[in-house]
This record gives sequence, C-alpha cells and structure tokens, in this order.
Amino acid sequence: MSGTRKTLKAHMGEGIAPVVRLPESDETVTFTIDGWEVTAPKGSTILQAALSEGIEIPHFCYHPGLSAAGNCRMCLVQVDGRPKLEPSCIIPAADGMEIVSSAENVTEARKAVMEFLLLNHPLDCPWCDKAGECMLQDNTFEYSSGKTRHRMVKRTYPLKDFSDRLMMFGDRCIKCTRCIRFLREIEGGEEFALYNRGADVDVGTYLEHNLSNNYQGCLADVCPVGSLISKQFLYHSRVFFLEASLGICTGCSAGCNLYVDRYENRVARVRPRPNLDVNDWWMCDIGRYEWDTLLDNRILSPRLKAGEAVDGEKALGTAVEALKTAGDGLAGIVSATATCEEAFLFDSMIRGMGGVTAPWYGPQGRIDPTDKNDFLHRKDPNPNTLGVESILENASTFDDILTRIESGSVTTLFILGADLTDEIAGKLGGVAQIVTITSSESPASVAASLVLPGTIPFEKSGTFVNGDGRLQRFDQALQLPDDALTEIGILSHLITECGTGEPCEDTAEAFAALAGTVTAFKGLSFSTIPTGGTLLQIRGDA
Amino acid sequence: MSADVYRGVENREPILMTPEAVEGLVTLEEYRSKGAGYTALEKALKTMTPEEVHEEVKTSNLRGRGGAGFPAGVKWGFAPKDTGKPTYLVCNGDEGEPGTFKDRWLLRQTPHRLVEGVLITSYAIGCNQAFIYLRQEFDREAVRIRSAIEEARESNLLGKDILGSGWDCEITVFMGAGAYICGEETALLNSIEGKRGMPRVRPPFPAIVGLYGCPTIINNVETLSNIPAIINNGGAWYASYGTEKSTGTRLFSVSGRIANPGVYEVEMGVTWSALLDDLCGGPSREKPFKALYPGGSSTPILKASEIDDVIMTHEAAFELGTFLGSGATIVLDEDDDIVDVVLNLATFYKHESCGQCTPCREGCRWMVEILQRIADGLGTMDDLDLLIDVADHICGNTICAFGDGAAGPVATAVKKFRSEFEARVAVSTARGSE
Amino acid sequence: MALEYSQESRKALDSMRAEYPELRSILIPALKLAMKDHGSLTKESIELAADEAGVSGAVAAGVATFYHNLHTGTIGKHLIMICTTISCQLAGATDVVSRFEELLGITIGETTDDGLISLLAVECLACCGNSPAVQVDYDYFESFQPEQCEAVVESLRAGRHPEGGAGVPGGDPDREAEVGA
Repeated sequence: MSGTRKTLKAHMGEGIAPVVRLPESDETVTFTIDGWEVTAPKGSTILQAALSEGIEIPHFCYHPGLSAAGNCRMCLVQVDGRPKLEPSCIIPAADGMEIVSSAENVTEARKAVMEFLLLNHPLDCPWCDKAGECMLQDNTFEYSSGKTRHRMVKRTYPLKDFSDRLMMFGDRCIKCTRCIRFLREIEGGEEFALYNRGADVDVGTYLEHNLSNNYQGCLADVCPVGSLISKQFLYHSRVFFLEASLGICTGCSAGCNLYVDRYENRVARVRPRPNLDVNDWWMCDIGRYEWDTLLDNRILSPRLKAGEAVDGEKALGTAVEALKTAGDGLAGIVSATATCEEAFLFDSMIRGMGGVTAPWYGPQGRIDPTDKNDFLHRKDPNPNTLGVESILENASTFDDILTRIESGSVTTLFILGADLTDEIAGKLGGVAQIVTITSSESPASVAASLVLPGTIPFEKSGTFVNGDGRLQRFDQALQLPDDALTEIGILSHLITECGTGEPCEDTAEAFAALAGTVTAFKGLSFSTIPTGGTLLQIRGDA
Repeated sequence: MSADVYRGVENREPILMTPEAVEGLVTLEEYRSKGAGYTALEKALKTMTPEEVHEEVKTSNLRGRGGAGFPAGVKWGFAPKDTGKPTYLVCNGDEGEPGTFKDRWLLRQTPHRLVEGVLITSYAIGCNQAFIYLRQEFDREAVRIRSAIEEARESNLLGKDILGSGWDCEITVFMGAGAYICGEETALLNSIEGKRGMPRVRPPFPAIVGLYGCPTIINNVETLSNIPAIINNGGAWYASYGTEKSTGTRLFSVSGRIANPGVYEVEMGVTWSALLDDLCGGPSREKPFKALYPGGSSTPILKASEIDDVIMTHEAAFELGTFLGSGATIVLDEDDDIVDVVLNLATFYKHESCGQCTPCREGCRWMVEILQRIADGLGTMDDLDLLIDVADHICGNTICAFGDGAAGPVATAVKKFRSEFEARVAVSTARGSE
Repeated sequence: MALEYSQESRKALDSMRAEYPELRSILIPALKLAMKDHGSLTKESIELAADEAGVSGAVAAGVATFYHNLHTGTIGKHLIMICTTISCQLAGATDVVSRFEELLGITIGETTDDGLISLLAVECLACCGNSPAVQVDYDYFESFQPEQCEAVVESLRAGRHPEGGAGVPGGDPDREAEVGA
C-alpha cells in the first residue's frame, strides 16, 4: 500500500469532516485511492467519494453544495495510469478504478497550481480575516515551496463594498467561482458574474449594483480564501482564538444548524453548520446578522412592578407565593420561542397548580411553520412552534385566556418568553399578579408585577422542533454568571417549592421528564439526540 | 488565372480546390452548373438511409479539420439516438488559430458546398436544426452564407420536406463577438447559449450533453465541406486518397516568409517540400527557411531541417513531436528572431485565454512577462529554465487544449532555439556588468 | 431614463427569438444591437440587452466584458482593426499601426476626439496569406500597406466606406447590410 490515509483537515467546521451529499443510487462502485479501497454510490465523483471517506484530496473550487466547476485544478489525480491528470471533482468513480493522489507527478501538478495561485496573491495572512480557516493557507503548507520565482508586479483590484454586510478584497480572489455558483444555483439571483477574461478576470456585481439578497453571509462562507469578507466580523477576531459550539438558529421555524463561535465569553459570529436534512450548508443573513437584537434591552436582574430591584431569592419567593395563592385564577402563556424543556416545565408547573397554559406566537399570530419566504427562510418567526404545540396537549388558546382575563377570572398570570403587544398588555390591568420570565424588555415585562430575568439561546442548552417536525438540540455557548439561573433553573425551583414535581438539575433532566410524559418524545434522551436532529411523529401542518 | 494550388501523391484531381472552386462557386446557379450542386444531398435523401451516410463517412476515415484530427464518422457515432431530445449539428467557423485562413476561403469560394455538407451531416445524425457559428470578423462572409441558405430554401433544399423526402432541416447562422477560445467546441456551445465563451469540463462530452443540454456534433467548416464529395464518390474513394491513417486531402494555409502565401490543397502523404517549395515557391526573401509552425501557432515549432524528406501526415507530424493542427503553416527564415516570434504568440494566448482555469489564466500571463524581459534584454539564464518549467506546468493540466497550444510551442521553441534565447539574455548580462 | 432599441433592432431581435430554443441565445446579438443603437456598452445598455435575453445585469455584463468586439469603453463610429498577430507582424503590421496613429493623432486602442474612428490592434483575423490584414468596419482590407491608410481615413471622414475591401463574396450589392451585427 502506498501512502498513508490522511485525516481530513476540516475546512468547513472545526474537527468535522466535510458533509458531502452523495448521489442516490442503489448501485455502488468500488475503487482504490492510493491503494485504499473506497466504496461509494454509483454516480459519485472521485472527490466526493474520497471526502466522504475522510480521504483528503486538496481542492478549492469544489464545494459539496455546488455544481463542480473543475477550474482550480488542485484536485488533479492520476486515473488508471492515463497520461494526463484528471480533476477528481469531475470524473465519476467507476468500479476497479485505480486512483493515484500522492505520487510525485500529482504532487508536482498541485504545487504548480499553488504557485500559479500565489503569483498574484498578496500573502497578507497577518491581517486577513480568513487566516486560520483559509484553504489557500492550508494547502500552502503542503504544496508550496515557500519561495517565489516571479519578479513581476502583482495584479491588484480595488476594494469592493457590496452592502453593509459584505465586501471583497479582490487581490485575494482565486477565481474559483464558488460565489457565482452559489448565487446562480442556490440563491437564484445571479447578482455575481465573472468579468473580463484571461489574467484580468474579475468577480463581483456589475458597476454600482449593491447586493440586497438575504444570503450574503454564505458568499463569505463559500469563499475558500479571504476575498469575500463578512463586514460584521471584519477584524473582529482571529478565527483560531474562537471556540465553536453547536447551535440552532432561532430566527425562524427552519431551525438552521449553526456553529456559535465565541471569543472569551462573547459571540463573535454565527455560521451555518451543514445539515443535509435542514439547511444544507447555508443560513440566511437574518439569522446570521440579526441575532444581536437578542441583546437589545436585556433584563439582567429581577425587579418588581415599580422598577423596584429585588434580590433573587426574594423574587423567587414572590413567584412561589403567587403560584400557591393563585387557585383557579392561574393561567400561563408560553412563547413558541421557548425550548421544549422550558415549555414542558412551565406547563407542568401551571397545570400542577390547577391552571391552564396557552402558546404565544407573536403579534402576527400563528403562521404555518412550513411556509417559506425563499429556499430556506420561513415565514413563522418562532424556532419551536411545533415543539411547544406538541407539549401543550389539550392546552388552551391565547384568545381563550385573554377572554378569561377580560372577564376577570384570571388573578395570576405567568408569562414565559412572550413579548405580547401594548394593546394586550393594556388589558391586563385586572390581573393581580403577573410574573414574566424573559430576557429583554417588552410589553409583557412592563406590565409585570414581577420580572425574572431569562436567558438568550446562546446562554443555555435545549431542544427545538423545527417546522418539519425535526427535534434538534443545541449546546450552551456562553457562560452565565455563577448566581444566575436559566429558565430551567427558575422553573425547577418553582416546581420543587410548590411540591408539584421533582427538581431538574439541567436540560438533560428536564428533557428526561419531558420524554417520560409527552408521547412524541418517548424513548429519547437529550444526550443521544443526533447532531443532525431526529424527526418526531407529530402532527404538522404540511 | 488560376494558379497551381494542388499537389497529390499521384496525378489525381483535387477534392476541394477544383479549378471551378478556385474561381468561385458562389451562387446556387454556379454551384449547380460547375460544382456538385446538391447532387450529394439528393443522393443521400433519395437513395440512402442516415446510417448508410454515416457508414460512408466512417469508411472515408475523414478526420476533423479543426485541429484535433478526430475521425468525423466516429464522432458522429457518439451522439446517442432516441434520447427524446433534439440532436444538434454545429459547424465551427470560428477560424482564429494564428496562421489559419482556409475556412474563410471555403466560406467565400464555396458557400453552397458547406451548406450541402451541413445538410447531409444533419440527415446522417438525425438533426433538424443546425447552427453555423462564424467569428464576427466573417461579417461579409456571413452575408454570403445567409444568401446561400436562402437560395437553398427557395429551391426546397432546406426547410420543410426537403426534396420531398419528408425530412426537415433548418440552418441558423450565429455570429461570434470576438474570442479565439470560441473555436474550442464547448466554448462555442456556451457562446451560442449566450454565455461567456469558456470551455466546459468533460465529461459529459458534447456529443451526449451539448448545445442546450442535447446531443450535439461539432464539425469544422473544412470537414463538412468534404462531405458532398464523399457521398457522391463513396467513402472508399475518399480513403484512396492519402495514407491509411491520414486519408484524403487537406487544405493548408501557408503564410510568413514564403514566396506565394495562400491556401493550398495537398493530398496527405506528399512531402513538405512539395507544399513549401513546389506550390509556394520557397522562401520570400532569398533567405533559407529557419523554422516553421506546421499546423498553426498552437503546434510545436519545427526546425526547417526537421522536415527534409518528411511526408505530411498526422503520424509523421506526431513522430516529430508536433501536429498538423488546423493546417496552418507559418514559415520563418534566417532573419526572423525566434524570441520575438514566441513573444508575439505568447501575447496572443495571454490575451485570448478565457481565464477560467488556474494554470492557463496565470501561466499565460507569466510566460509573457518572462519573454518580455528576455526580449527587453533584462532576462537571466534562469529565466529560460523557468519559462520551460512554467510551460510544462500548464501543459496537460488545463480544462481544454488551449493551455497545451499556448505552452507547448513556447517550451519547444526554447528547447530547440536555446542559443537564440541565450543571446538575448547575454545582452542583459553584458549590460548588467557595465 | 431606461434605454430602448431602435425599431430596426427591435424587429431583428423579435425575429431572432424564434430561431433559438432558449431565449438566452439572443444575449450576444442583443448586446451588439444595444451597442449599435447607443454606442459603447454602458450599464444602461447592458441592462437593456439583459432584459431582452432574460438574464441579470451581472450576467450580461460578464458576457459583454468577455468578447473583445463588445466594447464597454469608449468606441468610435467606425472601427479600424489592425491584425498584429504573427504573420501580419512579420509582414509589417507595425508600420500600418504607426501610419494610422500618425494620421489620426491617436495611439492604438484610442478613439478620435470627434468619436468618429477607433484604432484597434486585434488578434489573428484569419487573413494571414494576404498580410498585413486590416478590417474597416468588419470589411477585410488584405495585404494592406501603410500608403493606403490615408485613403481609408479620408473615406471614413467623408462618410464613405473605403474602396478596396474584400466585401461580400460575389459582390453582393447589399454588402453594408450586416456591418457589426
């Protein structure tokens, strides 16, 4: 056997091999790469098959979510001893093929490609955002001599400012056309093209045209070098100082999988985590760039109605008292942005004390969570509509509860995460006790007699059920202060104090309690939910 | 007066450059009274099945005249039948290889013969819409081709129910917009589709997924112009011209330091001397030949001494490490400086590279930079090896054959005429030490 | 204000549409006609052609900048294109370029101030046997000598197509019909 099997350097996610979508076929082909046997569905290219097996073949223009362009010539391999090297991203694998990827002639061709690519590259890694996750940089280590043989003036391009989200350092561009293919094949707007020809080829929009599409962040993602740069992250941090955790976007009911990259205890950026059942390799700009609205008007400490600060213990005591004294005047409202575990504990607590719970979808009311704005972004702004609904079985509706409030039969109202509207808040005057658990100011917090600070999704772990009924878990990215409680901590405390249930130490225990009760979740445990999520047998709208 | 423009191995008639063609068979009336006059089309439609037409062309072993020399009959066979999609024929008239001008001659002299060839080929491959792609500079030639198409239509040789056969075929003339690379067949297809003329990666091959995603056969103007004669006289007749592997005759465009530049027809198997000395009258400046590009600027250069007593066939050219290409012979004499010639051509390729794939986009520019400094007397000896190295790194590693055509001749020229390059470098070394 | 095609171009485009299975095939003709009607290709005229062929402005601009006979920079009413590739170069194309530069007072690649004539060096015109080759408004002038430059420039200035071009084979009286389109 020649060569050693290489572990893939992950260009697409820390420590994770690239996600490749192989063709669907009942037939397979078996062939060898440097003597290693590889089996793949018929129709797979050599490169797809190699990557899916964790065998590295260097490449730039190939992206698993886009058509193969074959233009960078980095993935050249020798096929069955043919005299000319062939691009492994183009050639379909066939039974018995013998592929050589590590022989001297192959390495020489790749080194030549690297030399060509670096001729005009500014080599400005020290101040390039991409450094550390740059395919050009990675391959330079293996396929470059470290010495230049050219004596000419480098080609330069002016900086291009496409929008408030994206800019282009054209000097770094290697003309792989991934960005053009993304806009043509995935986003559909064709706002990018190649211009000129030969060594003068340029990429971008035409003249003063500004980008306006909702997927500009993906252009920075697919760029294998530091040419297309997300302005939100520009000069923010070196990527190798970031730590990634697994997240789920809360921007809509699509449930796009994320990496949440944090620097110290702040979120530096979020980026899509490939999931072929949910978001492929993509996420929209609303999810990517507007998550920071979660940080607006944060509530960081408990308070009473008059804006009177109150310490945590006393605040919890007040909440327990409110529950115990509510009698049949108790009602609960839970937002469809709450996690499954939160919704479950909240509903258990309210029902345990004889009350009823209703879901809140936002001022716009319920929107079918399968309705789409485009290929990815959904109309329903809630990440957990189906999760909350499947947990609140036989629940009331918000309108019912509002009717009861207006008739004066609700004395105590608990609100989890819901913002409500000024109009609705105005109708709550007759409710004696309003306890709102939320992370930011809203009509519901203003109307509350007691506000308990909640967390934003990055500060906790949990599960959501997306618009397709897929249960997905996410991990806690940011640390909370030592004395701070998550919603689960608060709810667990209240349940225990009221004597209606067992305490839950963490999300996993809350999930276990949920799985023990709600049919759709039966048999599942938090730690064994696959990273790609799992489809629940629940009633969806579709 | 019609000059001597044909040489055969034996005393046989020319196929394309008949005296009548040289005079011009421009109108339908002329083509009917003095040329084949669509008799081959009539023969094919009335007495032959498409398969029989295809069989004759296979028997003829007619090889593509665009540069690659691939057998046309074999190529036709690659197009799958019964795909439920239309099959297209595209005639490649984007003649642009430096040194080549024989297709322009055919378009000007015998437009109807091309139209007839296109129609017969369409019939053979099951095509009902053919395209003739002409470079934009063939503006006036296009007027003539369009007239020929209209004349043919008026005589029911084109359009619906051609000659009562029940078979329909249309021909559309598509004009390029200035890009040498569109002579590459898949770039040409992209151009017809309204795209940048960038070659496509293969597979899939255009015979299977070509124009508009449909099976497509692309043939050169000269290739298709030979079809009427093959159908009228038979594939075996055509194959009796030339040698076993290089059948028939070929048009050669001869230019450079030659007494009588122009288009000539030679039977495969005659000597280079028969073309360059007998037909073309030898050197133009009383200086001996030094070198030649045998088949166009994309074919590796030969020293004049290398073609002594060599016959003109694909195989003989291959033995010499070069190709007959598109039959464009550019002759240089003792007073021509190889460095300047190579720089001129490298500049052409740098300008015409589509810029799609890395080695060609970056390498063609780099080669010009190196050659320019050598020509300017600023080069070094290391530059000569660097030049060969860059050229070698382009060759074989690109999407299409353009890279080989751009780089192969550069490397060959440096290797064969190293002393001339060294002389230019020596100038710079001398200057550097002043 | 959005640009429009001339009636003549409109008619040409409408008849072209039926010839191609896909609309996009008329992009290159549409760009040429936009150039014919409105001069060098600007953002507006590229968008005009883009709409016609059903593609984005970026795609049309990508095509416009690929083909060197589609001009996005300043371009004159008449084009003098001089082949400077090898065979023409050997035959003295440089002298032809110099003579035209001298007569027009511009250098290669430029357009006269009155916008009448652009002088362009082009790659092989497929006329190597009769070199140097020059094209004036896409009509071939073969074995072109520096002495002929003056007559060409004078004709263009007088609003006439110069004498001596190869024209349409067989001498079609309608030889101006397709100039540049």
